[in-house]
Amino acid sequence: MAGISSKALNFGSPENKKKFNDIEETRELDLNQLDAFYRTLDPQIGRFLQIDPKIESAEAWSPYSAMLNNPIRYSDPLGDSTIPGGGFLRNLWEGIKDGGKDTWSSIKSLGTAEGWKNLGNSINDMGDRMNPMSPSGGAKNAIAGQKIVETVQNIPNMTKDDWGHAIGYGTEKVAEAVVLTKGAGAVTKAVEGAQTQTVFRVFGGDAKAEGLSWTPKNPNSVGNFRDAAGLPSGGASGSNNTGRFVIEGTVKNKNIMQVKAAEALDGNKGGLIEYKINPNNVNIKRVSGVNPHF
Amino acid sequence: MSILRGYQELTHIFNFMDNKYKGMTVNERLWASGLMDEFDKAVKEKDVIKAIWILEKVELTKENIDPILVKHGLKFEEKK
Repeated sequence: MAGISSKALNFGSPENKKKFNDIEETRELDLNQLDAFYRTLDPQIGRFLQIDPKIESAEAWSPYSAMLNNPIRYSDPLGDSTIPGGGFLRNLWEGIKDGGKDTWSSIKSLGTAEGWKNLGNSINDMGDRMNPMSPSGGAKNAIAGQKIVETVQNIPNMTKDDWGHAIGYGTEKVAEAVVLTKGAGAVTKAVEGAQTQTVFRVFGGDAKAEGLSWTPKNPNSVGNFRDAAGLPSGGASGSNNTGRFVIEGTVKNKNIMQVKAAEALDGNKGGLIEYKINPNNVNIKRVSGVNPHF
Repeated sequence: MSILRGYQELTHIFNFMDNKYKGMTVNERLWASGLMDEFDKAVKEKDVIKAIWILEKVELTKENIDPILVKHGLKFEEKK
């Protein structure tokens, strides 16, 4: 198969019950059809056999089309509404994360560098195939894939710290899956290391200075920081981070307890990279007032 | 309103008055409550009921829970 390596597709041997299009595979009567809740999908032709029950939501598309003709990017597990963030890409990702020792075994059996190169090329290729409506998502994955390809040249000489930093946080989970299984006692995250990085915390009002939530992004460089960080804003959360102050400090990577995208709150969308850090582990450089508030 | 529902409403009001998660982001709440891993697991397994239960435990209400479920693909965005 051109573009997507069959070796990379074999990543992570634990079986994922959710098959193509996030539907649990059932082949009743030996028919090659997948039964979604609302419709039946024929994976051979990539089309549903019945028309879209919510046809008005995708008027520009054939009522028989599935996943906006992009099963790499989208999924439609019920057969009525296409949702982003699913499909093949997520299943591959889950396979990598769940792979554990089998993931590492796969890498070794593939001859290490070649295996990584295949995986990198696959993600790179998937990035190119991303939905044109979301070019940033495609570019991001293409870059992630390219970084893996570039990194394979140095794999034999790399330490666990090198993994995290060379590959980058964009592919942290890939590195993590490998590092976790690299040997006995090597239970550590890819981000772990002696290197430090600058982190920021915006606070004020109900949000105190000594909170757990920090971000590596300078709030001044984010267009709408309140929205991106999902700050409590006096809505249904019943509390408010006024965004009056900013702490800037440094933290050792090994003291970052978690890296996650901010969740939505009080009408703010979230999505900004959010670190969980014990404030006692932050070496504070400065605390400044902000006007206007974030 | 059933007795159970009334009890839940009252509990929610008391919790709100003593909101220990004041000023925290959603991830901070999950981390502080020790339910972060459980939440991630619920999302991964698409266990909507459990995800809602966890988000309610960290004192979020429907207005804030729904967008999180939508973001994680656990709920379909309502048509406009």
